[in-house]
Amino acid sequence: MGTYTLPVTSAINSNFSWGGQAIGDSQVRLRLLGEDFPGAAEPTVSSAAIKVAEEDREKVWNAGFFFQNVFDISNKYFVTGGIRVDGNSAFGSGFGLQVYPKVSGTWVISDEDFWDPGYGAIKLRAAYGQSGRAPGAFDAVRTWNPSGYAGTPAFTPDNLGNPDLGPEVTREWEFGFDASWLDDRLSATFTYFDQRTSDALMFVSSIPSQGFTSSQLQNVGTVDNSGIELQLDATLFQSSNFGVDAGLGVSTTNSEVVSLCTGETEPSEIVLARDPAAECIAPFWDLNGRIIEGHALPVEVGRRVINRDEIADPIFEDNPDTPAAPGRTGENVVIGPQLPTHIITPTLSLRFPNNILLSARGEYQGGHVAYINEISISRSVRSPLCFPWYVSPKTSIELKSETPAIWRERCTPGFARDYWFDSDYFKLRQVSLTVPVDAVFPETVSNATFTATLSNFMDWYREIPWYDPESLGNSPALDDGIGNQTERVPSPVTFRMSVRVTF
Amino acid sequence: MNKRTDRSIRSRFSKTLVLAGIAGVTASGCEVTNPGPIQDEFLAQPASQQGLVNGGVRRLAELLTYGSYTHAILARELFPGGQTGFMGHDPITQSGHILPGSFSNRWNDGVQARFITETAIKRFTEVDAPSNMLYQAYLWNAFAYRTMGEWWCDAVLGPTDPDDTTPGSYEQGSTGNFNRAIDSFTAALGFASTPEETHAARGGRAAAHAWMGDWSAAASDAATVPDDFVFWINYDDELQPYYNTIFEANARQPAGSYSVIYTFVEEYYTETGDPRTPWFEDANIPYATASLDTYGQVEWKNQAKYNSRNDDQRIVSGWEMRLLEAEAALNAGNWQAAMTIINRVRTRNISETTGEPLDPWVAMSMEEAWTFLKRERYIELWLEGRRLGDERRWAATNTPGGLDTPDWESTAFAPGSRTNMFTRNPRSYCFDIPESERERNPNVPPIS
Repeated sequence: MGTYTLPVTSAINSNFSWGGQAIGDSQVRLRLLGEDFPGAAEPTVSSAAIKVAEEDREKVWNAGFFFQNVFDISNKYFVTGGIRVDGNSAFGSGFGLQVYPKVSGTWVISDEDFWDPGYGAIKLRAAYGQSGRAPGAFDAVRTWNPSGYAGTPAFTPDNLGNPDLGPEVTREWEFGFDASWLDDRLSATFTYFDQRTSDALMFVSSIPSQGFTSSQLQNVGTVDNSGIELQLDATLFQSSNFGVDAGLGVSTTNSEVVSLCTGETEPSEIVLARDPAAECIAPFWDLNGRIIEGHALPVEVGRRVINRDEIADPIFEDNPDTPAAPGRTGENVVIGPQLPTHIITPTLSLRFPNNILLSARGEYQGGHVAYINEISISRSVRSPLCFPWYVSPKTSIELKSETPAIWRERCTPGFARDYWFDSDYFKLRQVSLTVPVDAVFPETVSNATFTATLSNFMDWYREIPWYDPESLGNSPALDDGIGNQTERVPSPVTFRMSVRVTF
Repeated sequence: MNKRTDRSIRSRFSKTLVLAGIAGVTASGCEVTNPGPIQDEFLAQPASQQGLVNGGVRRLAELLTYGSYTHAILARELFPGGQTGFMGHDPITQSGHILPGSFSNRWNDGVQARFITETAIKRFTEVDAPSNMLYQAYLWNAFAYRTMGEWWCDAVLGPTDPDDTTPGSYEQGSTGNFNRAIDSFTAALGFASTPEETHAARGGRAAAHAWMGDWSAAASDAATVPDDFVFWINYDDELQPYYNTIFEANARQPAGSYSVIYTFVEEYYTETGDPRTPWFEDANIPYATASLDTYGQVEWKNQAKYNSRNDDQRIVSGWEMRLLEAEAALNAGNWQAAMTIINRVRTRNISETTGEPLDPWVAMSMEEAWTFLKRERYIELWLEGRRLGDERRWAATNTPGGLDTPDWESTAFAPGSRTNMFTRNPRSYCFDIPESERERNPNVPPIS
């Protein structure tokens, strides 16, 4: 990497940078498992009666070089242009190098002569750039899994492979400002972003009858993402003994699957995922949800009762794309986004005499839906949720005649699927008290503070009746995905006390 | 040239070299060959050939072991105990109904068994592999097609060339699957080198011919298979995917999911002691695990045909062949000859109750003979995943004679039972093409 600074004029400086990097990521994973150890000895894997060893080796090379130039004009305008060229060993054999350009500009408008200092200090900024995400080491090649069968070697289909696999490319426009007023007692940072990801990498289910039943990573189409990020911070009151600071963060994300066609083509004829000539693919499952053109990434789909409060048998919302079939009426109706579309994070900090600090931080997430798997119903067991509707809750699952349609659906074994809920929730993430405790330590201690923190002790849910949407189970959360709760333990309420001492 | 300048030149030179190196790596496409998963190109190597065949057999074993225990519920060879989740079935399947588009895992097992063996056939042919490898590839390919034909209502038939990515075409019924099974059994015979290999292929083909209604060919193939010949799919306690699942689902580890109560064999075994349909009770374990919707706890009377995870399952047997010969005779109108064969199959068995050979069936008419043929197939092939297909096959050809399938729809199972779960949905006789296939394959219609 190198830089070269060139004064173009007395007011303009040019700073040229160039460089390159080659990153070889080599991972070796060894897993050793032993079972049934003899009693006397200190157990080691070698001493186990049953030993299992697993080894994975994976190497990915990513190499690239870049050129960038920053023009500094009068220390008020900054213009940056650059380009990066990448190659990656995980690209398909039919895919070459990828070029990512970028350009950005910053204008310190408050440094202009026409600017009234009373308007505060404001810096405007805008940027355009491209970035990429490469596929994994084996995604491009057709592979077989050495799975074994009754003590003999056996190969079963693993990855279909795609020789044309390349990176997904995201281009992003970004506009915003950084501002402060009233001697920095009020500050704001605002950014609007607009992303378009082309050749988005997603796992698309293959046609099972063609032999590869797992999903294949493919460059499937175009996804848009836009939103804002706003952070407001204010010092509401300040004196030598007391202070009140407040903050509010707001971020929104609106995603849309624009097209499931490769390139920039518009949705047209739906053809096959595996057909090499394919340009468009049908909706599919990935990211723990459904990927459908014209909807958020991803969405939850399922069955919805439309006559929810009527004293009648349930009627299901129609899916215009999927004709009703016996026993499957109303399947695959789009319910809503799986991920939150807006997050609000308020903060409050109170300072008392002797620098005692009490602060709180909350978080609101909303705009998405969650499915609560009422597993007892699917297993034909009585559910407390349905007790108000059972004729005899102690002995029977027979429903009262006045049961509304939604609960007829929800309380019938083998039938209950409309357990969709608006997933908006608020959590008081943390309340902490910090107290300086220098006085209780010898003078050799320069600084000491005591902190008590209470986390996750208060929450509110708009609709979800009994699950914490952030709760985790024995397996990682992403195994089941947000919005697909099954048998999980909620995140714990914690109270921590700590003393920090500086010498 | 002073030292400073010299160092500067060397620094620039080394930077240029590094950049050139990076540019070189970048431009080369960063080619890497990773170990681990087997890449397609290595499958045909001699060291890989048996592994490739085994992969196909493993998938077929998974299809048969999990499919057979589902099949046993649908065919009413076993009565559900209410267990859902692990080693159980959802309440709808327990009631004998297959939801349209469901059971994608079984479909995946079947199509992969077919695909892997077709890959083996192509790769082995290209490298002129030993005939034993080609025999195995063709044979297991044929059994994969035969099982798909017997168990699925309809077929998706793709190119037999595994490198041809044309989506498979949809075909109503099972004819295409059986035609392909017959072709592959025939090809396997071309590579068979021992009598046992020939018997397995001919026995498998006989059953496929029967499905196609070609009774002359079925009887001809069946006649070449000796009485005591048996060809198995291998189950093993190494991994759950190929345990004997009918055993495991009732092994109380922890599931005891099913019972023979209310099935034909409950009374039949008590009355005859036929060693082909054994079951037992355990006073310490009176009930199946879980509880059956609308019924309550189910008395646990456990099958004893399979007694370990390692117990294999027959997919061809000489006695099955005799029953095919008998059925061919019935189709030819010779019910007396058919009864002779049926009773030869039957009376070879020594009753566990009396210690004597089982009593022969006595038929007085063609219809009675058909009834005994159907009953004897039920008994002989009990819990081998064949009954449901038999019922479908006989229904399609309107064969006479009664079935011993219990009428659970009109049975009042127990005092206080409120509704009968078996009347909620129609009984299914085959699996449906799953939604995963219908969704991605444009040639297959949506669920209807």
